[in-house]
Amino acid sequence: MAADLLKKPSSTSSQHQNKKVECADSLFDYLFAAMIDTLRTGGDQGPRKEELLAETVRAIGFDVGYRLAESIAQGRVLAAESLEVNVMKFICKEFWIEIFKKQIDKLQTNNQGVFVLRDAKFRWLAPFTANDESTRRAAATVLNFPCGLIKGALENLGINSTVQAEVAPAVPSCSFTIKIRRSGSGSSSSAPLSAR
Amino acid sequence: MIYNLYIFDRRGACLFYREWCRPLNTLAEDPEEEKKLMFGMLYSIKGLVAALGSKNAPSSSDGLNHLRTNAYTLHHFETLTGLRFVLNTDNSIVDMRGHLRHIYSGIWVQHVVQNPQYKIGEGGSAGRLPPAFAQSLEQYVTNLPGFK
Repeated sequence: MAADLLKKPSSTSSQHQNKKVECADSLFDYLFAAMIDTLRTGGDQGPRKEELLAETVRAIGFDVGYRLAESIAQGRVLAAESLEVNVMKFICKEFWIEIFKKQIDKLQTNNQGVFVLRDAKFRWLAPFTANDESTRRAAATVLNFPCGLIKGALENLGINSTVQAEVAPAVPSCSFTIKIRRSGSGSSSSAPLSAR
Repeated sequence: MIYNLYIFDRRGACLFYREWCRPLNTLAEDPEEEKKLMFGMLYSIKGLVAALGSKNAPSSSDGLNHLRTNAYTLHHFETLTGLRFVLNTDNSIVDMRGHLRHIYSGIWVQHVVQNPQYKIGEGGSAGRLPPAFAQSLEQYVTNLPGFK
């Protein structure tokens, strides 16, 4: 696990690439756990508190994913044909590799705007190995963040979507289901298959 | 000689505009209209370019590069995320796309995207972009060889 000290990037005006700066993985893990803890104990303690917590974590993930997509998309090009599939491949490969140093293990689609991404060894679920209710709930809360990440990244790349996650079949494997909201004539998901 | 710079987002909102030298401005009373016209023109031309061009060509980062009239040259750079950087210069400057790319990677991403005080989607003439962005941009552009 890389724990290089933060390097001050030297900049020359002809540098076009973002310089890589490294910091410890564990820093993110602890920060993330502290963030969720703070959000859970602070704030409104009413009956909707779990829901609000989930929404807040998603919103944070959205912001981060949006900006990350901007940084990671530098210098890359996406073909116009089957743009959605290419954007999804970008998420599964470059985006995921940048964050987790591995790519998504399986990408499926029903060609109607629904994609399922499966990560067999999701790093942020690694601490949740016990098989009881509270661990499951904690894992679900954590999964809100990568849902927001994906949604934010897709939004910046021009795709409006809803993202759900579930642990399947067991920790640490999980899957993300992305439903693309296509604008226009309000076609429902039960519309007949159109020729592509 | 560099005239001005627009930065548009995917939806056509003008996130940033900066003018260095503009001898003639017929739309001075209505800058919003002018920005809408500029975006509208670029949007239409992009559609045209896509229709006329090869079907295998990548979409967002290619397409319209320059637009040259007898009075000025417009340099256009569009990112994967739909941001458009539009720079108008006189005809002595041939290619500014490399510089536009640097303005995106080195200045925009660094000072806007990576700045926690910037809320996504803000910008525009009210200038809610972080001042560091305008400063770095100013420094970069005024030091470009063709600036005068």
